[in-house]
Order: sequence, then structure tokens, then C-alpha cells
Amino acid sequence: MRKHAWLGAGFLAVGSLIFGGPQAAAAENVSFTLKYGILAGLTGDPAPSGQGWNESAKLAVDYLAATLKAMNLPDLKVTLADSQDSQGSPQAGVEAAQKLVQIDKVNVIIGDFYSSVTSAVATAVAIPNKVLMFTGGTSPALSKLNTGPTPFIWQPVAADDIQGRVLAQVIGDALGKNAKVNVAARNDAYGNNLSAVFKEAWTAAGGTIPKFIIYNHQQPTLDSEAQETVQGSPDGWLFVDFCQTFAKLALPLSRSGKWDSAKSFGSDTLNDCQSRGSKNYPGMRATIANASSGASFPAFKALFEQKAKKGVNFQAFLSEAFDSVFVAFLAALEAKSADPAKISEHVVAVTNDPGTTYTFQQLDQAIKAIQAGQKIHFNGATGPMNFTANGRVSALAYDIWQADADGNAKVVKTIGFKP
Amino acid sequence: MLEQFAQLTINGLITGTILALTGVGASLVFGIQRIANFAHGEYLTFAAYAGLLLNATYGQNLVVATAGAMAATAILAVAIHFGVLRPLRGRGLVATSLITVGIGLMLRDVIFMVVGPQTRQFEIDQTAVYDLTLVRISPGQAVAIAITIVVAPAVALLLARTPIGKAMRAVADNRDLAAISGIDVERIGTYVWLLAGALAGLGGTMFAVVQGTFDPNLGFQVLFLIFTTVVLGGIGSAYGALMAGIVLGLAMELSTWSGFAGGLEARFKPVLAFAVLIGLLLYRPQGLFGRARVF
Repeated sequence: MRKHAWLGAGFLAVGSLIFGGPQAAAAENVSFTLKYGILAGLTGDPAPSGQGWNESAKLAVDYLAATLKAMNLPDLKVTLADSQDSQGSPQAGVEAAQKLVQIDKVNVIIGDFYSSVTSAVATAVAIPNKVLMFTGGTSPALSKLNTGPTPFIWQPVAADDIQGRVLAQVIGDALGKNAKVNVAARNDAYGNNLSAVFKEAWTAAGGTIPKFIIYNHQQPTLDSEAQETVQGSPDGWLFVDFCQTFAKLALPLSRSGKWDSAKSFGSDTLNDCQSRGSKNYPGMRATIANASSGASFPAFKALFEQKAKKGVNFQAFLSEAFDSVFVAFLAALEAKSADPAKISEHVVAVTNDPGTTYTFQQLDQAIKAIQAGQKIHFNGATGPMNFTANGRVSALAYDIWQADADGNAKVVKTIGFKP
Repeated sequence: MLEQFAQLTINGLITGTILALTGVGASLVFGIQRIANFAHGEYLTFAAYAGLLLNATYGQNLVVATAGAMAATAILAVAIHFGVLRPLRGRGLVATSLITVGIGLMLRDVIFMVVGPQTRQFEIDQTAVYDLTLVRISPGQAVAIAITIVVAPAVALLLARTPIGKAMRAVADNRDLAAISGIDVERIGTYVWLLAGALAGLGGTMFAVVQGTFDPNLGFQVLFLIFTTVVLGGIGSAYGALMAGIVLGLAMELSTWSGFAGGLEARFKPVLAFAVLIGLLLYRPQGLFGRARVF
């Protein structure tokens, strides 16, 4: 008799799981704590951007926690375990990530925004430990690290293989497709890869590159590099570097008397150097992927300026860190679990159509919709996102930034790009 | 092509003389104190910010700012000598040198914390250019040239003609022999830290001015070039460091000259510096001016 009672209870339980009660009632039983860790270069060269990345992700976690509290959902918790300093170095990044994963037991790492750091951390820490990473790194090699059935590395911004072609298109529109463009790029994975993609796209379209210079950006002076960069009577220039080190090249370029910043273009890391603790050069343009095309971007910017630590400058790409926090949570909610592998299976679902569109400003409604079993499409401050199963976004809008005579930079145009 | 050669020569001389002056201090410290001071690069960074403080905050001109930076860095070097390095004397070359790595890291992080990671620049017109037909130089470079034209021979004279300079060279050459000859090696040890600090102060300010913008990584970027200068010139040899710095600066810049078989790719400049060093040490292990020793 007792055996039959157990069997009956078992059938009831299985039946309720299969046929379900009302979805909302089932969702109310969902309980998890999602632990985030932030990884960014908080000191050294990357610090001006790293501090902003850290603030941006913290803002999102705080916003999320406050929303859950206001909605009286005590079973759903989000915590920020720690912010770790990668120093922009792969080795330091791996050590920092090990702390986040092994000591703090985080489910999701927001960062790093350096491809070199992300690559090392993904290989040595995140993928072996099955922890999700939302990176700001733009190397196309990053999402290729997702070799298993479950992608753990997610790139909320278009990768450099696309950016190189966008730069070729933008420069071609400005200077003509057959123009002569000198290229100067920093000697690291980012500089080499992006400049190589540009070279291929540019020459394929009929353009020429009289001087293709890869320079060691850590040298104390870059005078001879500047000399080389202005040779060959180019119609324009492309620079792939970070603001801090580009400043060392820009000064001898200016001294040469042969450089025109208004005919110069920069990679996404040179879009607004003034906001990154360096300076802008009049007329210089730079492209940056998809960082501010979301409807909620102005609200994010306002929130950042209101709540972020004083002295930390706002930059458009910080929206990637901000969005990533919400995407991870909403995917976890839909998965009803904080298990990174299960979250990963739902990232595409919550960032693509079909589904009702929500931004972070309607986060409570998005949460209710998921709890009610409805399909949502989270639109980030960066834009519609549209993650694909390989960990990359497919919504490709690019902003073109340009510095004015006073050194202030702003978006002058946003273009769509079809690969 | 001639224009490029002239410009590269000037650039090489500027970099070279700064390396030479900072290398002299590091070399003498090694010769006299038997310490490979890996914090030397951070002395340059400290000097750059000390100079910036005087120049940008207190409105002093570049010469006064440089003099102030030299004084401040000399005091820092002596303070670290008395506070840390002298009490640890006798722990061996490797241990003491490793301690200087730690001092360097601490200095660098403290500077980061205090001034932040942003790039800074001296209050001089960085966009102005003196067009001298074959070469174009900035006011900052012109000041660097003027200061080094005065200071480099002065350092050489100090070492060659003054009792303190002679005593420094004597202690660097043979500490025991110098001591039994009546030279107060402790006092000379303090003087050499003062000189090394002051020259690092000069080098740091000049590098900051020549670079145009700088951040707390300034000294770390040149540390290995300074040590290359020291080894190339012959460890402990002040004259050797003076000459090696200039040779190194010129070699690195001129290697990219297009008249030199099309020129070396710029990214290989630092590689060239170390290739020169390895090549020289294979044939002359004691460096350019070092004395071969028989043990």
C-alpha cells in the first residue's frame, strides 16, 4: 500500500512537470543566485577604459538587484563577487580570473575588454571551468574558442574581421576606392589582425598601401616610425592603436609637417581619446561597432553620469559591459538556473526575434514576461544584439566618430554593414 | 633620403644622450654599490611627475622644473639607499637586485595611485616646430638637446677632473683598493646615489618632454634600454655608458633609414639593440669600455 502511495505521488509529480500548471506559478518557484565577476585592466595602460568597464558592469548589477528587490522576488538573487584587475596582461588576467572562478565561484565573468587577456582567460580558466565570459575583446579568434557544443565566450560587439572591412568601406567613401593609404598598427594581436583584414579588403577593392608599418608601441619614442608613416605621399592614413600609445606617435607625426589628421582614420580604440585620458586630433575619424545604436543608450549614459564613480569618464563601448549583465540574467531566468551551461543555451533566445522587445528600462516587464513563459527580445544600449549560436552578434551598425577643431569627438554618422 | 637621414640622426642623438646620462648613474651604482638597480626606470617616472608638478602646477619653466626634478629624484634615491638598500647590504647581488624589482613595482603602483593612469604633458607648446631645412625639431627636443649638451660634458668632467669623480671611478674599479687608499667608500656610495638620482631625474624629465605625453609606464619602457646601455658600455664604466647610450640611440634610429638596404622595419628596432649587445658581448665580454678581469 505504501509502495502504491509513493508511485501515485511520483506519477503526480511527473504529470505536473509534463503538463504543467500555469507558467507563472511554476516560475515563482524558480530560485537561483547568479554570481558575477568583473575582469578589466584597472591599472596600467588599460585603466582609463578599465575603470569605466568596471563601473558600467557594477551599475548594471546594482540596477538588476534593485529591480528584483522592488519586484519582491527574494528567490532571485544577483551578486557581484568581485572586480579583478587584469592589468591588460594575459598572465595577470588568468591569475585574476582564477580567483573569480575558484574562490568566488562566479557564474559569469564580465570582461576582459582586451582580446589577448580574454583569449588567455577563456582557454585557461573559463572554458575548462564552464564559466560564461562576456568579453569586450574584438578579435575574431575569440568566438572560435567555442569549440564545444556549448559556447562559453560571448562577444557583444562585432569582431575585427568585420571592422577591417568597415574601415575599408568608410575610407573608400571618403578618399576614393583607389586612394593610397598608409597603415600604422601596434605590434600585438589586435594591431596585426585588424590591419591585415583592412589590407586585404582595401587592396581587393583597388586601393594601394604605400607604407604598411607595424610598430612596437612600448618603445619610449616613436620618431622613426612617424618618419616612415608619412613617406610615400599617401592620400590618407589608418592607425590601429590605443589612445595612450598613439599619442606618442601623433606628436612626431605632427612635427613632420606631412601628416594631416583630417585625412586620418582610426580603429575603434581611437574613437574618442579625450574621454580616455588622452587627446583627439582635429578631423580624425574612427569607427566603432554598434556601441550606441540602442534606444536605451541615452538612458544608460545618463545613468552612468549620475551614478558612476566621479572622475571615471563615460565611453560608448562601456554599454557592452552594461548589456552583458542583463543578457546573462535574463538567459538564466529563462533557463531557470544559474548554471553557466544552461544560461548559455538561452542567450540566443533572449536576444533575438521573435519576442516582445524590452530594454533595461523595462527590465521588470521583461522579467515578468519570462516568468509568464513569454518570449522576449532584449535590446541593449548597444543595439538589438542578435547573438548567434557561435557567440557573436549579428546586428552590425557602425558609428563613425570625428574630432572637431576643439578636440571634441562625436558620432557624425551611423552606417549599417552587410558582411 | 638625406633629409630622412638627418632627422633620424637628430632623433637618435636625442634618445642616445638621454640613455647615456641615465646609464651613467645606473652603471656607477652597479660599480660602486654592486646593485643592479631595477627600480632605476621608476626613478625616471618619479622625476617626470616631479617636473610636471613644478611646471604645470607651479608654473615654473622647463629648466627650473628639470632642476627640481633632479633634486627630488636624488633625494628619493638617497632615501631608498639609506632606508632599504644599505640595511640589506651583504645579502648578495641577486637578492639585493631582486629587492630593487620590488621597490620598482611599489614605486610604479604608488605613482599610478597618486596621479592616475591618464597621459600627461608638460606646459610647453607640443605642436610648435623649428624647421631647420634638413631637420624639424620641437621646442621640447631643442631643450633636451641644449640641456644634454651642457650636462653630458659636465658629467664627463666631474668624473675625470674632480676629486669626487675620481674617487667614484676608483671605488667602481676596485672598492677594496680604493678603501685602503684612504677613500671614504661609504661617503662615495652616498654621492653616487645622489648623482644617479639626479641624472635619472634629468633623463626622466627629458624623456617626458621628448615623448610629448607620458604616463606612469614611462620608466618601465626604457629600463631595459638603460641596462643595455650599462652592459654595452661595460658594467661600472661611466665613460662606457656615456658612449654606449649614444651608439645605441643612433643605431636604433638609423637602422630604419631607407638608404640602409631599404631600412629595418621599425618594430625590430629594440631587437637590433639587443642583437648589438649580444654580438658585442660575444667578442668583448667586458663591454665597450669595461676592463677584462682575471680571477
